[in-house]
Amino acid sequence: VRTVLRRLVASIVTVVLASALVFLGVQALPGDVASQLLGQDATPDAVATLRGQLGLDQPAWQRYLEWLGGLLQGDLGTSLVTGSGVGEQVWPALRNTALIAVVAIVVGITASLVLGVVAGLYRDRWPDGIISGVSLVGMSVPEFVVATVLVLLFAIVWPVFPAVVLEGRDATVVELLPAVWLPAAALGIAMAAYIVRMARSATIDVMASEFVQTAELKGLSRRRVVLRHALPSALLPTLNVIALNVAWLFGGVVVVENVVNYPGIGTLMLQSVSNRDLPVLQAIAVISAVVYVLCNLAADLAALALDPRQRKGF
Amino acid sequence: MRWTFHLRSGVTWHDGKDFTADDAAAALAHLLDPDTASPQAAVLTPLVDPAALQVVDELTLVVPLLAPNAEFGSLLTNYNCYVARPDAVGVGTGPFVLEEFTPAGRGSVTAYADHWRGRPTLDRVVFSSVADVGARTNALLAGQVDLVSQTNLDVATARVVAASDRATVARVPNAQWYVLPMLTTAAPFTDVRVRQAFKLAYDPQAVLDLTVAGNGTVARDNPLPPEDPYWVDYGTERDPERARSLLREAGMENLELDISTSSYDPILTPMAIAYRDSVAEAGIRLNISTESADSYFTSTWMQVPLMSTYWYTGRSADQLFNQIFRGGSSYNETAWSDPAFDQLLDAARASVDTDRRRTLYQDAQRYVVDNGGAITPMFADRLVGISRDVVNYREVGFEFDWIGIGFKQAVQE
Repeated sequence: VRTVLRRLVASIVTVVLASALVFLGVQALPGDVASQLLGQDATPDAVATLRGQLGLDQPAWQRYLEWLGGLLQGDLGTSLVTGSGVGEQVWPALRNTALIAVVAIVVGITASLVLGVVAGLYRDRWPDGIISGVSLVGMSVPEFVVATVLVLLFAIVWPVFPAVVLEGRDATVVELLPAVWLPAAALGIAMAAYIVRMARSATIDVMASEFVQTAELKGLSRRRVVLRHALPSALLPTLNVIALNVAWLFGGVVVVENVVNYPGIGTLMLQSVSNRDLPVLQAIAVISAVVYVLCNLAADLAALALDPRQRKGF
Repeated sequence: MRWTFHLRSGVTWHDGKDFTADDAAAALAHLLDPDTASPQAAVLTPLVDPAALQVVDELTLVVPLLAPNAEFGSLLTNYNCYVARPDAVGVGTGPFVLEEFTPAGRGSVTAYADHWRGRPTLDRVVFSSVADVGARTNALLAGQVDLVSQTNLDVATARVVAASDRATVARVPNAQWYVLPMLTTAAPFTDVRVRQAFKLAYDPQAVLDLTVAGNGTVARDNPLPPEDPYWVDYGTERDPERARSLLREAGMENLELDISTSSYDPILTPMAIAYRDSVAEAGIRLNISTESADSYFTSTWMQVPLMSTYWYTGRSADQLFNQIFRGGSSYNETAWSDPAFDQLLDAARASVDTDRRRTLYQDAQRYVVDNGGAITPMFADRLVGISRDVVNYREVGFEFDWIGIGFKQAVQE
């Protein structure tokens, strides 16, 4: 229990630190919101008035504390661009992104685990060659290239899926569903490579270990050896990689969503950067930090639960 | 000077009410209200006192001007000057009725059957916001959208679009106006001889060919596009030798300078490079300085001696000269202030004789070419991606013909 508590405290500190860094980073961006909002045609008077209205003339630390206070009460602030609550923009976007993430994770992780284990079992034979080769290519090609190629093939040459999403953030799940597959596939391919590699080497290690050899010598069927003994042990080192990948998904999604104009958190983030919509940007950054920390926490706790050896030593 | 506007009868608002002189006065007053913060207010405020507007009858509005301006009517054609009812948001008199609007999201309008020019061809127009230009183009190529609006395709993308089965490219001649402004308040451009040398030194045809593959017209430093009714065929004739001797006279031989650019528009950097290469012959050495695109217009533009920018054409000659070349205007990107030129503009505005006004605006063009701070190499065509099914796409100034635009099938029926 103490271990768990310590992990939780560390996580909260990480999130607060991340929020401060994000706030500072956003302040350092060139150009200010007022002139950005009013555009090239802005008169100096109009810019000054808007700066006053937005509270930009207050010192940065004061704005940070006010914002942090609001955050604790669940108030993400007001968007500088639309004038509505940040939550109204961020939550639907997050829901849409979750849709891609769930598809990418469920399909991607299952497939890559299976492929990784198969590659490990057929080490250095042709299935291993194909799986390792393809996953290495998937790892090396940036996800936006994968996404662009998928769009070119499956939306323009053979129009099976839509090339871009035209609906806004408040689109229903049914409206979004046809558009989810290409970005999810792009993310899944990029993510799969790591997990395949990890699951493969873990399987090889486990299959060479003494307890598996013992099980084989006892005359158990190969099927039983793999499923009952090898697989659970091989999964353990993969857990961390999966957790990191889920967190990475949040970053990859920024790039891939913009390729297909998917109305998720990534598109919202890029829009906020170019509009200098600081409250939205900060909210997204903090949410990303929370997701990242939660994924790692979950991986740690799961490892703790699966492997009794780790419970000591803290 | 007083302007009397006789309003068209039979024009109605989208909620069915008649459009009257009272409405026109209210719309003009709304435009001038500092709280509205209209970009066009800076142009109109020195001319109109909203309290002095006189509604003579239902359809007659008299606008007494604070300073004479025979081009006042053309200033009201600016795209910020549509009539609107301050009391009813989204109610206008145009061919389409606002149905839905979400910032950075979807929007839609439906045909207004009682429009004074008759019902528009299309029943409904749906707008989608796509931030990434590549994604916008893909949407067109995949047949998901019929028109990529507000996007000037670069020449390479335009070739891809034109080669597709579903989409093609509509060309709006000379719609993009490219400028290399020299800040006349900064050395070495305080000296008019240096400004002239920088205009004489380069070959506009080379810049046009290298940056947009010839899709446009050379401007030869005349900022008025050839389509303008007041345009005069006058511009700088390239002469690198004379440029060299002007620089020698000014004591500025072997000049080395930075030219600022950014990726804000894809043409700016190629234009700066083409210009740099072209002026080398006259002994001018330039270094390309690429600035961040999202702060270019706030931190670099109008703050360095030599930069690159673009505007849309479509302003009337009067608005163009008074906004971008008159001393003291907030858009005067060369910070040029020449009383003789400003007097020329005042004389043109005060003249009600169209022929005389044309002569004066033509003198203004010659004056800008010879003395001003703007190097204007070219006007480039705007390349707009449209579906092959779209017919009657016509752009005028900042807008396109909303009434005529339609689909092939609909026209055949």
